[in-house]
Amino acid sequence: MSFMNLALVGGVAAAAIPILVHLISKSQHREVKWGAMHLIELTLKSQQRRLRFEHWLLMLLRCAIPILLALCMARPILKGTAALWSNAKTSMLVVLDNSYSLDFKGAGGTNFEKARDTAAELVQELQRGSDVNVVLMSDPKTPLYDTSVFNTDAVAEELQSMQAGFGQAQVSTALEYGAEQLLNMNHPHREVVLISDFQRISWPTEEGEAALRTRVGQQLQGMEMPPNLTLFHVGVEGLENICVETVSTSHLLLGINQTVTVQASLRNYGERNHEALRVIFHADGKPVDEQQIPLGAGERRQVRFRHSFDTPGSHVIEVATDSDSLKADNIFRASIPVWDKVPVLVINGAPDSEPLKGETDFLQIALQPYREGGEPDLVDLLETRIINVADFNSAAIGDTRVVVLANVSQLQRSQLNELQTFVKDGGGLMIFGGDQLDQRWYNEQLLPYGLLPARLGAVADKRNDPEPFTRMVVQRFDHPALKVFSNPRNGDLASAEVRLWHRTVEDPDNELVRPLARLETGDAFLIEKIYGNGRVLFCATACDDAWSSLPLRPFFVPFSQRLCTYLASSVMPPRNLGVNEKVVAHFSAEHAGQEVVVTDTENEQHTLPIELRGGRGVATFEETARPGLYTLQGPKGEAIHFVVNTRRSESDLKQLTLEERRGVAAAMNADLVQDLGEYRDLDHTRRFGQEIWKPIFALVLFFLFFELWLERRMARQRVSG
Amino acid sequence: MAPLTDMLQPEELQSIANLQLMANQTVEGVITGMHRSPHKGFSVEFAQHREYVQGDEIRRVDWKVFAKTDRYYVREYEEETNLRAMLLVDSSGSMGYAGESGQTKLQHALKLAACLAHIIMRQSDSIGLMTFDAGIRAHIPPRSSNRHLRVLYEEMLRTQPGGETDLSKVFHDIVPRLQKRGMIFILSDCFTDVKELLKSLAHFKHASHEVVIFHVMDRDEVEFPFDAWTRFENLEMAGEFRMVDPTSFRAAYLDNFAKFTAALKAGCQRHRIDLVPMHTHESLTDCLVRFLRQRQGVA
Repeated sequence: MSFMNLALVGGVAAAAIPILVHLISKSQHREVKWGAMHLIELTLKSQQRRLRFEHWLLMLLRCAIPILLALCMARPILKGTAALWSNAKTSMLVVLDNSYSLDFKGAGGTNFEKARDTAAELVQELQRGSDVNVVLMSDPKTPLYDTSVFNTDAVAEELQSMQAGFGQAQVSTALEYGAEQLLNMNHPHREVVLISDFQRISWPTEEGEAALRTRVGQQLQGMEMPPNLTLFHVGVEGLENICVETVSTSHLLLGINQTVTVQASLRNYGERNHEALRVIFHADGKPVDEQQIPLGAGERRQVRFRHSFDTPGSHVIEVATDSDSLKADNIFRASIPVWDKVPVLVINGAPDSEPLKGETDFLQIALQPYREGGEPDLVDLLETRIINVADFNSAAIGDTRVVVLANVSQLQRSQLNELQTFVKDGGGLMIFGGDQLDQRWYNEQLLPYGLLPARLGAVADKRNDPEPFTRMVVQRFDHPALKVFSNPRNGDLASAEVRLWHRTVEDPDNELVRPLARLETGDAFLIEKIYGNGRVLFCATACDDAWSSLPLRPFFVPFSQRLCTYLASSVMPPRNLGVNEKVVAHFSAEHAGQEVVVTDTENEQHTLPIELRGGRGVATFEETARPGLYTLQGPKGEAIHFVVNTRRSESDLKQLTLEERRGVAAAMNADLVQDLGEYRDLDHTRRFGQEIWKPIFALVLFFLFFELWLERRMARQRVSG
Repeated sequence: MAPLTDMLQPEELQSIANLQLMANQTVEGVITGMHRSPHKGFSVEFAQHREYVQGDEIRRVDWKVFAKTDRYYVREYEEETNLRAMLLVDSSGSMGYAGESGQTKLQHALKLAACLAHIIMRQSDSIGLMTFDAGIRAHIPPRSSNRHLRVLYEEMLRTQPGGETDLSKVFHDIVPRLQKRGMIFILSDCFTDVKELLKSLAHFKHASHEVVIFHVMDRDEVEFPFDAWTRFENLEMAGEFRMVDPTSFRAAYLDNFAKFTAALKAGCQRHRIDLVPMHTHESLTDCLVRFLRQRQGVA
């Protein structure tokens, strides 16, 4: 403890005054020759202990009052080890919330502007020689500086020039990475200041998340040199926000002139009802359609647009709504590749010259319904080429995106190698069963090569059973290839009668394999396996009508098409990304070593090398912190669009209440402040200790009243008498 | 009758002149006019004439004297009294306390004793005096002559407070000395153990005496109005004192004082003893009026 007015501590000597007064008054006593001594004796005998106690208590109070008053005037400061740091240099870690909810614009600027200015001021106020680092909550793994920086002015300048990020705040992760940064900082006096809008979605109060934060708080406190953790709330709560939550398309793979249905989901997080909210649909940057929808407070509503593209290549669609104070979520973009043709190579394992007797006849019709149906005006997206097993080689693969093995007995080793490379590099492989299939070869060759999702068992035959067939179990499919069949109006998969099928031995521990559909017997009907960059689908029955009525059912066309387009589409690296997700583009190996150019959302161009990886050229771009359109110019001059959208969880701008924030701070063993003044007071207290004159003064007042009360109590008989 | 002016103020004398002492207990003997007695035709010896006062029986008027002097005189007889009253005055040290008035409790008690003697003598009853502390200091047996009253006054004027008190012992000593039954007036602060005191008072009652206690108290003893540190020196024992802060002490003292008076009052009621509180700041008249009303059963 120390005192701001040390000289006044001498005032404690005033404690002697009551004692002196007592002694003087006792020495200047009155003398009375008294008769009723027996009453005095009796009273003294019965009350001596109480009287003595009360006298001592009164004396104690009277002595304590001048002592406390003197202490109060001397302004004592309570400080433990804080005194050691009072003039010390500081290592400060700023954990800055730059999630896009802070882009909400209230009075006096966006919440992020307030946050960054606060951070800059905190840094500027540090004592010279202090070091600083900054961790951004939407990208915590990459601190602003590799090592802490001593030039606080430069840090402040950089902070003030920052713009809000568009990712999601990762509180616990940011603190964990912050703790790692602290280990490399220089001074024993450490401050961690977490500046955030305390958006409810980023600071969930659920038990698991809260426990995680508490653990991180404890982790910080358990460090060898534990920092002071301060939670700094900035910004105002946005009460009105509309966002375009998602945009999805009806096609996995879109061909030229195919009409795609774009479905957008809009949500009103605000408290105001919108009678006619304008929703605009853009294709390739041009407004194409517009709708006005009612959207009540808290409501979610779907909007559909239809559009077709007449040129192949990369296209961009965009659904936007009227802007509000948080603009980042008013637009949702999607990159859609439009295909001229998707080459599919079908290897026929049991050809037959008789119509519809060959193994692939039905499949061919299903994959090219317009061409096979004699409709020259309509163009099939899938371009099917059927070959015999003997003709399968690398030349046959060519630019094929999907290979189908239809009741193929077995392949030559060289063919198998070609097929493996094809799948590994991102190709799609579809395997249909059948009577020609060499079960032993499949289990001994194809399975070890990684191209068979599950070991094959015996062929199941229901033909002699009372019910000579089984059916597929129709359920709610969540797989993109089958999702459409969740609604029976799009095709009733259970209508097909399956008489024979290959049983499979599933390995539930293999995370790369999953059954997509099952038969009523419980056997897998369709199994998927991820292999390399490609995928393999195994269908347990044949694709002709020998083993099932599958090809005779109306759903066979969309079923076959969905499987193939799914396999073809999954080949491409994703073009619709979240904030800070990498842009990855694949090119043929021959382009390796060349360069491509990416134009970012600010129209800045970045040159990227094409690197040879896994037998093909790969270009990556990582600076996707801002949402918007990133256009990559390929080696042939073709444009490939990548779209970065914010995660819409940040759109709910509701913040924790003050009480909840206090609870969070308490759980994390942190202090909560609301403004710079409060932080400065807190910092002052930490450095110089806590002034305690106020409680002492309160104690003085209490003692005064208590002394008065006690004195009156002791004399109340005299007053009433 | 000797003048009371040596001890009493004239207004006090005037006030008490017409007070009548009423006994509520039959005592042996009867005096003409005032007291009924079971003993009829009791022989008496003429003592003196006294001027008639209102209340005297007409038949006691000496008509011969009236014929000679044209004034009404009544006859008084030496042995006509049947009331033997004894004044027991506590003259211990504690009775020497003088409060704001400057008058000690003993002085006040003696004034009252003088009044009582005067009244009783005016009724031709006999009155005696006994002063005591731890033992009997003076003993004047009851007489009813005018000269006797002077003797009593002289003894009263000589009496000074001092010495310790042991009321119960003294009272036990006194009882055998009172040869005939009569009325006992005790003037004391009663500062002793109440139980023992009541036992000794019961002794009086056992001897068929009527007992009246004038409980003499000073206002300071009743209210304990001290507010600064005070050294209370024992009036009955030299050198003994207690240092007390009255502010914190007062409540407990008053509590004990109330218990003391309550116990005394209850004990007196139990033994059919008249207890008359008497404060030194009160006038004697008030005290006597209160006493006589109490005797007459007036609330």
